Amino acid sequence: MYFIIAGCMKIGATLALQLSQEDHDVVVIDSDPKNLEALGTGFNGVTITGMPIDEDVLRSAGIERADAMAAVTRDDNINLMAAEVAQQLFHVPKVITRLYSPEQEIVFRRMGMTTVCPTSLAVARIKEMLLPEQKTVTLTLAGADVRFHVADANRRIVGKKVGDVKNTRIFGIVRNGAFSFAEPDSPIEAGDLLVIPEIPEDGGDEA
Amino acid sequence: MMTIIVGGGKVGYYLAKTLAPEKHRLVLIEEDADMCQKIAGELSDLGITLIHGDGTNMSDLREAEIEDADILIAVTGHDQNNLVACQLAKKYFGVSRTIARVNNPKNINVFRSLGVDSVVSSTAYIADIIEHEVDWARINRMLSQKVGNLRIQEFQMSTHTHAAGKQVYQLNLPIGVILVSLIRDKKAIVPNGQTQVQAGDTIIAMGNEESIGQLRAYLEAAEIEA
Repeated sequence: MYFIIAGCMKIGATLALQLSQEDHDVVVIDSDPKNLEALGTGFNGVTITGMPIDEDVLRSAGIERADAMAAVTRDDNINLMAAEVAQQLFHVPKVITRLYSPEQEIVFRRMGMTTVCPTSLAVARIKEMLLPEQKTVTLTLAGADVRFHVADANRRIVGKKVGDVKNTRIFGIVRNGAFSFAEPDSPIEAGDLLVIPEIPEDGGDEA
Repeated sequence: MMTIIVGGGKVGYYLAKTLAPEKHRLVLIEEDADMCQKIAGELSDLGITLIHGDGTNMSDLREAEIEDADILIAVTGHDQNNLVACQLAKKYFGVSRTIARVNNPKNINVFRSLGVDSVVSSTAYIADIIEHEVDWARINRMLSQKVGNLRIQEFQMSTHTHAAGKQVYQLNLPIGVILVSLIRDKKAIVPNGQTQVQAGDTIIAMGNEESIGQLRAYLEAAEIEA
């Protein structure tokens, strides 16, 4: 696939290297040539020095042929503008915008943009790790929210197999800190933590 | 009516001061603390609210009471900030009219397609003026040259000429001369037979050497002796 990555800071550079090593065509745009040099010799894509909100720069990056673009500069507003230009003016099929501001993320998601907010992701993760009693996690998969909660295996089901437990769908089992998917014939042992999926009450993201 | 101006640089500052005497409630948002300090006193004397903040930040916009605003004008030096401020105002806070300054004239159409109501580019305005100047330079160069056996000549109509007030067909132009244009108040008019010539007009005529000479003689003869 043909990817354009706007911004060559940590996220952009790491993403560019990985995609190019997986044999994709990658063009990286950054206004600072020093950032592009940091990609090193392991990168076999194309680099362009310029502002990713400039139509001419995007054209020279081949935006008319791009399958997808990731706007990951350090500036939220540059990312938004570059992504909107790519999406609405050049009709790039898939455009991802990196935003640091969780509040803006909500607004621009509502406007139909696909966003990633490292702040929200890190906060959620850190909270999970800080609060051991926090036993519910929400994952966003393909734009849909899926919630899981973790429950101790109670005495009534210890010794049974997953397939024998009625009324509760078990997704996986954490035993001694290791996760395994629940199969109908997986045994449930004392001390197991069960991972149980939930349907979110609000029906997911309001769009 | 309430107006929010995002950006307190030269454009935003003078815009706020110019709008202030009108019946506007004005709020100016500026990101730079030093800049805020510089303009704070004068703006508060004029009854303009100054907020030190980022016009693309939701809570700063709320602090500016954007829910009550009728117009948001974004005039920072960064196009991306002006675009995002207008989009948040329009699409999230329901401000009915958004105006953005673009620093890069290439962004004029981008902003329009992305929903900004009015787009202003001083660079484009100046470039436009210069372009017209350039056109003139080219015409002036043509004036001094012959193209084939044709010549283009510029005539300045004085304020004392019998030709003033006449329509073009009444001028009895020599055969072989056409009036290409009349320049009046810096605007070019493409004349026809009914167009009235006025004192002070500049006439641009095209013809061969001989007929242009005849036109010159005619216009000189029309001069009223002072």
